[in-house]
Amino acid sequence: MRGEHIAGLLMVSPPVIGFLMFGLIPICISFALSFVRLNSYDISRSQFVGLSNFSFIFEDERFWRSIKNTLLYSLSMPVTLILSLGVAVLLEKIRVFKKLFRVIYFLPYILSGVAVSTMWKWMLDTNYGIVNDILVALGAGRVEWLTSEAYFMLTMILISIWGGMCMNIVFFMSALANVNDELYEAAEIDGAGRFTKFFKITLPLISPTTFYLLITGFIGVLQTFVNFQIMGGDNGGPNEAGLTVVFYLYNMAFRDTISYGMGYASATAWVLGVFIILLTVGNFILSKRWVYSDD
Amino acid sequence: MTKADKVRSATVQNRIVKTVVYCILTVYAFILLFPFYIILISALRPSMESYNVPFLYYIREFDVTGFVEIFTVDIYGISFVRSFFNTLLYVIPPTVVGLLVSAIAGFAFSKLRFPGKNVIFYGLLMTMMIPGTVTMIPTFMIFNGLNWIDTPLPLMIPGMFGGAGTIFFMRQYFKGIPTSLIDAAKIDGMGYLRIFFVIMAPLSAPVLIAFGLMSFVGGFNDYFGPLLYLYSPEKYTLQIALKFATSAGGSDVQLDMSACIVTMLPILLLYIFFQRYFIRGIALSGIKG
Repeated sequence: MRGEHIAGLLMVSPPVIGFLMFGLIPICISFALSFVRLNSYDISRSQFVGLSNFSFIFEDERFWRSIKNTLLYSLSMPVTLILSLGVAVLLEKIRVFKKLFRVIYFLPYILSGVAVSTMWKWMLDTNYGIVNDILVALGAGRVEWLTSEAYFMLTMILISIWGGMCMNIVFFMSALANVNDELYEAAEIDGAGRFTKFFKITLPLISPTTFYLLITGFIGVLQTFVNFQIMGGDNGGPNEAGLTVVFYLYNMAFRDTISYGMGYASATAWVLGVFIILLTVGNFILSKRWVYSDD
Repeated sequence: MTKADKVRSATVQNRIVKTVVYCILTVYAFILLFPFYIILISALRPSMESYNVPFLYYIREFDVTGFVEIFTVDIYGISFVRSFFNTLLYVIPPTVVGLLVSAIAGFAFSKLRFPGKNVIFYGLLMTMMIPGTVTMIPTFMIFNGLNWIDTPLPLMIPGMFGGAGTIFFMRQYFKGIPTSLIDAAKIDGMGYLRIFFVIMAPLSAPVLIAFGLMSFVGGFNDYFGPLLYLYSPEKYTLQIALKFATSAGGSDVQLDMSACIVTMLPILLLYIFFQRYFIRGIALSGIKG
């Protein structure tokens, strides 16, 4: 027995040490940093400033702009979700070429985000890009997809929908496969049509999956930054139209370290972090009310 | 309508539905694949051809100087060949070590009895809830304090401690393997680590390969980590090589698109050869959230 205890503890110790070093300790430091002024990476130079970091960001117009941009970007999520459910339903209906379609649909998920972004930058080029070329051929004008403030966010949303369906499709397909066929047969005997069956049986039964994808998707969207930095450059696109919350805090910590620094950035991270944790927990509780579940 | 008529009209209706389904799925596949066709032709012709108005959908003059340049010349001091080997060097060790560490911990959580097991397990699961945004800045400061900036260590070391998602899944997976196998091995005098490597690991090989592949792809495609921690061009990974070699110039489409293809190709080849594991891995990595 003693041997088993020691062996067990030894076997789980690496992840525990990892959790302490890269999880618990950083999160404590981050909490402390949100109450200090620190314009370098040397923690010993911190000056306690109380809640002033928080009052600064809440009064900062750019902070609110970054929130607005992030929420605007989150509109991509419901669209992606609905479209991927559609694709999953269609894929479940076929047998021939099903594998081939699936292999193609997963491509954007496994390929480098930098390469895909570079590819879109070229295709969306105002003067020579193929997208505008098609628009011109159709009789429309050229659109400044990435260089005008009005279009930048829409472009990012469209690209996100283009490449963001993969994981949702996988999840919806396995959820659809798990729906009991007898329910459909019973409904058919009662004279239910395709749409009735979909809305009254399929949709309620896959709701736990939909709900899971909605939450993880939203949490991911709230922390978006990298694709905006690649597509929009260090300043977050034309007139900061692509300045997301994480972009805002990244710039304060790593680019404008001298004028803003770790304190402001950590305070912002905590505002976002608390929101994400509340969302996870709150929605988890709410889900029990409206999500169908067997147990 | 006779019964035969009804059946016939149902099959006709079915056939129409099937056709519409295939059309929609094909259109979506086309929308996904078309951009890759565009980068391919843009990489295989002189830039001047790509700057033609209206856009040319085919290659007039076949030309591979973009690829030649990428494999032979340093672009803004960045060598793609070296970046490729850097990437492998940085990504493979944490992938292998992290996978083993996670699987061994998952094995312990599922089959061994030790004090504090549940507390430790749920504690680890909570780490999955910590948003990466919150730990980003202090983690950078810790690595800065260790003088690890501009070294690959920040990209390699954290992954070697395993991941909560993989541990969680492996624990579930090992629970499905009969404990009697382990008891028999114990009677034969095997230690727990040997039981893991001789019995558990081979039984879970397909899942381990799937997890390993996804973790490799994640590391290979990572942009943010190398962007944050690597400054010297000779230490760059493929992803930031692509970013800095292309945005630096901007006017050479042929070179940019050749670089895109070179960056995507290794993973694309893996994907084609290991499709089965990828599909499984994608579903598993979803569980990680």
